[in-house]
Amino acid sequence: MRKSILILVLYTTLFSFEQIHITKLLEEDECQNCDFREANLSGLDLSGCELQNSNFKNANLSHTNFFMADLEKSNFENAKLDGAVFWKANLSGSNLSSISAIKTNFKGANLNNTIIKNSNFNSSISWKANFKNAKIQNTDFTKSELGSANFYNNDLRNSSLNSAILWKTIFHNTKLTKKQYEYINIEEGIIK
Amino acid sequence: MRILLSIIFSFLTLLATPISKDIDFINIYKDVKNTEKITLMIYTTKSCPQCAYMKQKVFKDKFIKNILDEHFSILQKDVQVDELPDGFKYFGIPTIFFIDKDANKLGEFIGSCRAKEFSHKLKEIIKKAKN
Repeated sequence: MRKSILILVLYTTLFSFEQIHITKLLEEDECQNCDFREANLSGLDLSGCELQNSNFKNANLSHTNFFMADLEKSNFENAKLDGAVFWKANLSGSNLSSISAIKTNFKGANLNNTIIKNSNFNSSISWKANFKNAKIQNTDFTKSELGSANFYNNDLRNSSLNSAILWKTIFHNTKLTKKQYEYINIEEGIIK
Repeated sequence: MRILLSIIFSFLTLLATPISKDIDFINIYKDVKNTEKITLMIYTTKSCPQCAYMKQKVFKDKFIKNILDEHFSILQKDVQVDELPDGFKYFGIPTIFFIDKDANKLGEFIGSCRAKEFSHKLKEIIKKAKN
């Protein structure tokens, strides 16, 4: 019995967040290099917070407000971001793999050098978002609002842009399928 | 930062006047052909791509344009330049307010969408105005 409890405690310690980091974040509006794995931060107002190099793996961040937050080089692997706000947030160098970002607001967000693999951006609002050098693979941008967004040095061939708004979206040095190429032209996107 | 924004917002709210006294709103209904129309007031800025999409693409869609011409008068407010009327707060831009000639708010729409979806919103507002 004691052995089982010990294993459970060790497991919890190894794979979940540090409560002290959540307390620091809520009190000081900043927590760099912090551990928020598995944490439930859903619905919190974290606008303008300094959260660089933090770990949000498996966290619940749905409807959380990260307006203008600095989240550079953070890990969001497998996190739930549905309805969250990352308006003008800095996510550069972050890992956004296997995330659910349905109806998430990335307006004007910096997503440069991010890793976006097997993720769901369905119906996201990503006007003027910057995806320069992002490693995008097998990601669903269906019905996303990507107007005036900037794709530079990306490979979108195995991702979906179906029904996405691509008005004045810039695709510079981006690998596309023929079907995507035709759709971008219909949508008045800009291919360079 | 949040405190500063709250102070600025509270200060601007104190300065605001009701839409019924807004000079642009008054001018719309001075024109006889607009008396039965609904005012579509859009909050915008010069650097807002979503606003540009709504104004340059959606409002100019053939089907939408016909509805707008027949039932609506458009009033634009640049949130960084113009004085905004009291009672018409916004969180993000574009925000579109629908107002009847008696200055009653009939509804609002935040963000952007395709013409087809916007046509449903317009029809809903027209129906509401008639009731």
